[in-house]
Amino acid sequence: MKIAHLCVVLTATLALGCDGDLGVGEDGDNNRQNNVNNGNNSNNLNNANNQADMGMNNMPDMGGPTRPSVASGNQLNQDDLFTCTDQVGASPARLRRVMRHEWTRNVGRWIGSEADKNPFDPLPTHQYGTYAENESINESVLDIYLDTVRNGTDGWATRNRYSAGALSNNVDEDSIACMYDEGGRPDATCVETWTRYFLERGAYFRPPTDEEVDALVAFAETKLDAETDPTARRQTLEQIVSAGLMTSGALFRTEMGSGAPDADGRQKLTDWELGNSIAYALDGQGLGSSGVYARFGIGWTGDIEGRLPLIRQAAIDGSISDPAKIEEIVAAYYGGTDMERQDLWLVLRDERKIDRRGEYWMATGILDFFQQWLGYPEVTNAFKDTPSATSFYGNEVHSDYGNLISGYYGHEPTLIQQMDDMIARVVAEDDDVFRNLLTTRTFYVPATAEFAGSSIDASTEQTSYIYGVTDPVQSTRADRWRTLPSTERAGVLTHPAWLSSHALAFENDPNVVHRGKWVREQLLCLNVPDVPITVEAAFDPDTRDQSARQRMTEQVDSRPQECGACHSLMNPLGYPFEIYNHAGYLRQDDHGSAPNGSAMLENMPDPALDGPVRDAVELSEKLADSDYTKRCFIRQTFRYFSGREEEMSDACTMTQMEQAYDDSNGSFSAMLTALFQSDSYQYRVIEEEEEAQ
Amino acid sequence: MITRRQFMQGLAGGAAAALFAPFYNSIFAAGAGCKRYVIFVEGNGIEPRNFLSTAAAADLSAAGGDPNVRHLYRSYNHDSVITTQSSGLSTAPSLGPLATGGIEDKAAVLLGLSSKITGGGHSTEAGALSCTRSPTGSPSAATIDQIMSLIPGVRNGTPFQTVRLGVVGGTKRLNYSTCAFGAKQPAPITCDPTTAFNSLFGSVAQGAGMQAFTERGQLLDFAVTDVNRALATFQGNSWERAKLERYLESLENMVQRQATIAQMGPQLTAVKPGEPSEVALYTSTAPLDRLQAQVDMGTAALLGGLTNVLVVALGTGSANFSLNYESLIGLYPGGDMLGGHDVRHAAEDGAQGYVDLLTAISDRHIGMMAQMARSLDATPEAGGEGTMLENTAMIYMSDNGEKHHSLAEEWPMLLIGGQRLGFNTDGRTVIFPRYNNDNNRQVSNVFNSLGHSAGEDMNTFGGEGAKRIAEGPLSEIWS
Repeated sequence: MKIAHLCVVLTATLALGCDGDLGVGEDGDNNRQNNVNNGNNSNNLNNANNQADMGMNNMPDMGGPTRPSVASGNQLNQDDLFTCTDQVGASPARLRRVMRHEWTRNVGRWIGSEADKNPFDPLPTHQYGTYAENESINESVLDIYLDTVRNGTDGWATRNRYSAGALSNNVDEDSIACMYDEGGRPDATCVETWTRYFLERGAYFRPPTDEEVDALVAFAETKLDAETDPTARRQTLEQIVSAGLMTSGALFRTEMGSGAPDADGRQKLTDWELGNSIAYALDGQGLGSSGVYARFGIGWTGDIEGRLPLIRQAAIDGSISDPAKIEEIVAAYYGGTDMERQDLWLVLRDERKIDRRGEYWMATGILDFFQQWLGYPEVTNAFKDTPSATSFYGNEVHSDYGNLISGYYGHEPTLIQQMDDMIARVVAEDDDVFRNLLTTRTFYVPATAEFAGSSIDASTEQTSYIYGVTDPVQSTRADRWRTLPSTERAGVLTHPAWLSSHALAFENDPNVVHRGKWVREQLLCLNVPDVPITVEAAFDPDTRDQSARQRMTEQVDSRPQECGACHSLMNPLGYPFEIYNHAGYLRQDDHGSAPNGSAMLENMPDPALDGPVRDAVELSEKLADSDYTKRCFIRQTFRYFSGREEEMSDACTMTQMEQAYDDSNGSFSAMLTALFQSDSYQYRVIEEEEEAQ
Repeated sequence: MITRRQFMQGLAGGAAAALFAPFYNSIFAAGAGCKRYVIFVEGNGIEPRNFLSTAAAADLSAAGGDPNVRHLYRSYNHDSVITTQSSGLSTAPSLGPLATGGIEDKAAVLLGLSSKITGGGHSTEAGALSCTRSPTGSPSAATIDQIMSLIPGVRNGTPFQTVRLGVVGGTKRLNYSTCAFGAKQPAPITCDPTTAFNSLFGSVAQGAGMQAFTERGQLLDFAVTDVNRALATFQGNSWERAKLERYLESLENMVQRQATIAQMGPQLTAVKPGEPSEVALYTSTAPLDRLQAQVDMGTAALLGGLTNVLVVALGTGSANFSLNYESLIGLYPGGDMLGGHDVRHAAEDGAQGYVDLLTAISDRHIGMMAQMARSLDATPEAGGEGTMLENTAMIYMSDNGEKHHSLAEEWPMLLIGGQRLGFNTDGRTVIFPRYNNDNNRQVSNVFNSLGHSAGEDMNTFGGEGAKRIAEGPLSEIWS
């Protein structure tokens, strides 16, 4: 029985402790009956199923009505999805709640700062953090935000160029200087000017409406009236800025579209909506936000127009939906080579670390996409027992592995950053990107030579061993770029960061399943059923001295009736990675046998993938050759940058993305440009209501 | 377009209860006395032997078990439940703190409980408190704290449905690993004591704390007006509109909570813990220091009537248990600080020095729990009978079972208090037959007992389904 939740406001006497007013209203009685006793012979607090009756299992993540279920993502037939007939592309008209790092950048702070402790993490059920569905603000999130919001006010509460929190689009704008004059109270014109400017440049990243300005002006006037000491203006402004950052406009950006609907009921995004959509997609921050602050000794990393001024100007002059303009924008902000790595100033804030990174960079949003798709940042959460077990190095490199994760000693890039740099090179070169991602043997490895004999050599001297690189690596970019043997590594799926992220704590854990499942779901865009609740998915602990392959073969593969339906979908795609251990080291000996990465692929969605594979290197090469997996890559790109799963109505957009990619010899930027130019990206439709439950 | 009322009707129980927090309690308060529930959860295993008293060990030995092996549950050789009355709990390796204030005679130990459904491993995440298989970040069901807080007689007018406090390795302020509002909806645990203080006691804080409370109210009022204005002109459909409505409801509930807390000024002032600016524990890098601050905070929240359901999470979740116990450095073998994961792993491998360290860590945790119990025991139940402890069921358990790489076959538990809720916490130790025996019992039976103590039949709580051994509460500890 669904509860019919009471939606009345009663004048209730506050009941505290054990002796409060315990009056129960009529509706309350009904609700209690439904809620707790359920009117049935079993109580609905009883179990998982009955919790579903309370809505506890199946309730939407943030509560409230949700979009009716539409076939999407991996549920779709890929061949159909890439068949453009008469589908009309459009996304749902929607609100998009700001995400954690977006908010941090919007207020001009760096990732990892106090401001970055805001609570706007995406729902864990979303494949990508850009998904908008059901993202709202519940009471717990609000509770934390109220404690966090002040951390985002520095840039607008003060106007000191040399403050670490200074924003270029504040301190360089003379028209708002009066608001910071501690010599007296600002007049009404000043307050209105400052408010309008702050909302556009610091909160909404679009021109505010008069009503929005009036509301915050009224709040500001109240606060200024209460100000007893103008020298305490900063505190006053902190409250005013906080109020601005609490508004719906600051927390939810609209993608509703405007104008008369076309024949298909679609409305085009406004120029500011489209500009912000592209700005957030490429750079993870609002249009025209500073997103930068003074970096002492180097100067501004931005100007008064904020980051991405091309996009802002295009939103202002209305050229934002011009295909040529979009192409220009993507080309300008996509990525490339930068010996100074200015993109990292806000991220690392330590020149010693920046200098040790690779010279290739990619836009914040593009980096975020690859990190979320490939999932390699998870390496920081993945405990590894004896990281070099079964490798060529025995147990010698335990401390080095820890340092690869933390980067604490020596300022060399972490394992995650090494993979970032490897991907950045492929992306920046922008040629046959998907194939190169899966097959490149050019890895960015940590330098080791300078640490020999130092006080930190135990944590630094063997960090490159995880790649099989045992000769000293000099502290130059050129020497860190290494071409690894063609029998050992090929592309991102053989990078230790990926291998470690998609494995468990022990070298003979069922890592086959985790890695195989990822390949099936993320590279083939096919689903794997959830683990049945009655299945104890664990190896027999008495077989801990066996190899993972033996354990899997004897305990799982030998029981096709019970296990085969699911494991046949994953295991063949996971066995090839058994040439590596759980932390990504190449194995030398696997419990008395030679490392074995062989597998037989059958019933693959692309027949060209069927057949034997020798190991992960060959698997990666086969996957790279497949148009089927390339299309899955296109789908993943669509998901992240569109903020939703693809649907059949996106078929023409899919084909346009593929066409752009193929015509450009595999340019990721061309594919991205095609997406931003597409109807799916630029048009919105207000979906029809279904009867409320 | 559906109305806001329809939207609320469409909400499920857990969310709805949270949304209506201030109203809900007054509407449904049962009035049959206070019922409080406190759950301490230790991440990554509790050594069962640490909870075994001398007397209980003798009874186990007499029943064919071997109390001297570390994973003693594997030696269980009994087919019927062993109950050792007045078992001298404080003689157990980690239960020494129970001796102070006579808490050991108001407590009970449970051994032999299984919860295989959770899957074991480093952590079962929200599975421990929901008795389900719950992958990281994706709970399968609401956890017991959430369920209990929804029972009308439990909420009983308190402003906070549940207070969740804890410590984790690193600097994360929130831990989403252990509690859940419902399926796929993790409930955050506040890991920063200052944040917890401002949220719970800001209304009666000095200077900056009080100012922050007042300004918070003004911000909320402003935002309520803003969102109402946005809703008035919103053109989207109901599920997009729901995002704004959800935010509005959160704001309105926070406004109401502010008002409720403001009315509680005198009673909160009486129990308020030290100010963050005055207490070094709040920002200490030593996890036991921060935990002490959190336990003090939780105790004050209970004493002040801010909540009747409290969770204290001690490094729970697969990514959070690697704590470095700086204040125990003298107990680390060789005096070398080892990461929390490595400590537990070394203990798993049988290194006695690390086994002893884990015993000491549990001892410190239990000490703080006992301190909370003593505070409750020293406080008469306002408007009720007995002491607050007698109306408070406290549980200490782990989030994965018996050890670092758990098989989820043994979930040691300590119960304190709750006598007036029906719990037989009289110093006894109960040892159930081991997993796979017909008389083995499951963690879900304990939670089931909690439900019964609050007047609710929760006989099938948990996701065991056909693997449920027996329905209903545990007669050995509740009647």
